[in-house]
Amino acid sequence: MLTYMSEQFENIDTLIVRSLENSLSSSEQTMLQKWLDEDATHRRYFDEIRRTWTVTGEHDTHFIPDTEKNWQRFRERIYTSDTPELKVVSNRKMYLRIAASITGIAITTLLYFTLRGPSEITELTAANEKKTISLPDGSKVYMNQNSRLRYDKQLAGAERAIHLEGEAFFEVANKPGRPFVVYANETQTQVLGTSFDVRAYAATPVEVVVMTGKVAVSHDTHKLVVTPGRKVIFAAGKQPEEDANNDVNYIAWKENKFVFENIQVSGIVQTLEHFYGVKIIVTDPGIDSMHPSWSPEISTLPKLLDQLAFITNAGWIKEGNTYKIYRKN
Amino acid sequence: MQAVLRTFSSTAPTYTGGNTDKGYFCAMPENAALQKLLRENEQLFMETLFRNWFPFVCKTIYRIVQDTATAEDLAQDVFIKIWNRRAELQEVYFKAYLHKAAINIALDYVDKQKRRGVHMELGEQHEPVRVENPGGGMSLQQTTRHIQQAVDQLPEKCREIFILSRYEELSYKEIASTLKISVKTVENQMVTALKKLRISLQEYLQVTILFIAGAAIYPLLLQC
Repeated sequence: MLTYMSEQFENIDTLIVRSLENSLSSSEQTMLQKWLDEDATHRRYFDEIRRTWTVTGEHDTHFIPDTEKNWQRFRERIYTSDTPELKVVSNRKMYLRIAASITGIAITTLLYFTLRGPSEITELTAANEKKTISLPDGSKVYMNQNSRLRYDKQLAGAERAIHLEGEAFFEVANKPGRPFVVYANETQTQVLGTSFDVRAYAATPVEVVVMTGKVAVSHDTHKLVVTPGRKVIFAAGKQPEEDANNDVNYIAWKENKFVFENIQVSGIVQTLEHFYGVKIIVTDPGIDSMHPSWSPEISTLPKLLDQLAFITNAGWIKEGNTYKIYRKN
Repeated sequence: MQAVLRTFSSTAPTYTGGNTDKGYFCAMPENAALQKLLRENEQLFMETLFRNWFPFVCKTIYRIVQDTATAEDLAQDVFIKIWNRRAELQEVYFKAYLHKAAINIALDYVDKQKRRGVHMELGEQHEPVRVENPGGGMSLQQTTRHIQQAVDQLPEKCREIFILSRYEELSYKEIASTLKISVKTVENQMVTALKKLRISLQEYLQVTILFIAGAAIYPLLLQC
């Protein structure tokens, strides 16, 4: 019966539906009113539709998410996937090479300024020197020793290009549409929004460690996705190697601090050996298997060994180029 | 800092008002305060925005995707996008922005699921929702569940349109532009939705009408 009436007034349903969102024109309003007045069943149909609208509105979902839990999760996500920070570390061989040519670089730099004018900035660090550079776009670069950084004074252009030799840690300001590209040993490490690409690979291995940000590394037809806590190593003629970065102290030089939390002495010694380029032997297995928590500021090796010896109740001596940690009686 | 946060928490997101109340004015102090925070302390801005609007965003998505875990994931993504675009948000009215983003991400998700062949619909045929004891000891939760079931049983597009109109309070015009269809189609789908719902929710409508008619005759009818 109602269907028949709806057919008779072809667009009466449309009018009813419009009345729900109060978008009836005044002539439509009159038309609807006329139809309603015609028959009690019309009025009843209209009331039921309106009631359907009201009833469904009154029974909205009660779903309430756990905002606290979600906030914690969100916070972890933005700390690990945004404000892209990346670290470009060349391998040790390269430091040596760069250290060897440091005077050469100084001269080249002079030439640079003479030939290219002051539109380009070159930053250098000598041995045992560290530097923090604020780039014009708000990004920060922490340079390790024996390193060289070159970039356009205004960092103008579609691409924010940085040329690096040595080691540096980048905190990249987010500039949508303006990729941040680090050129190091014929590799390109690109940051755009929350990700970056490394497109070339070098003759000398280059290591990229990702602290935060999601990274896609391209190499020929291979593509690797590197996530925080992972690293990728480029060596000439080899495929890039992506691996977990197990070294929590890889930016110790930047933090000016080592962090050893419940780390076995043998592991601590390994980090110190690597950092200072020396050989350290622990002669006592009892000391070697201890797991101290120790976060010393970076200092000279003898000072650190003093501290470590104190914590582990040990002694240390230097024999030639080797440091020995022994049990104190 | 604490005080600022608490001030914001007290203005919990509510979405009241009818369809006519569509003006998104940037003059609301809440929004101005958020904009100020965004300029001064983006971490605090993010936390404030998140804590105030996450439930709202999540609920909007949930209505469309009908799965709590998916809704939470997608709501997280909405805020991640905000964070990533925080440099471009100076002119934004956050509530409207979040609402739009929530709807779009949910609709995209449903579309993708559909393309993958995953059916969102809970039932094709339209039978009246069964009510064990109409008007009797029915709890509010039961009623809500039944009514939501009825909405879920609508054909997919029809359901989406109905939800956008009824719960997200979008105008037919806004729905049309969101879904890239004509206003006429939206209106037709609304007619279909309401007609189907009128049938499946018949018992609720009758019960209510009886109450309106007067409690006096209600016991008599129960005896019939």
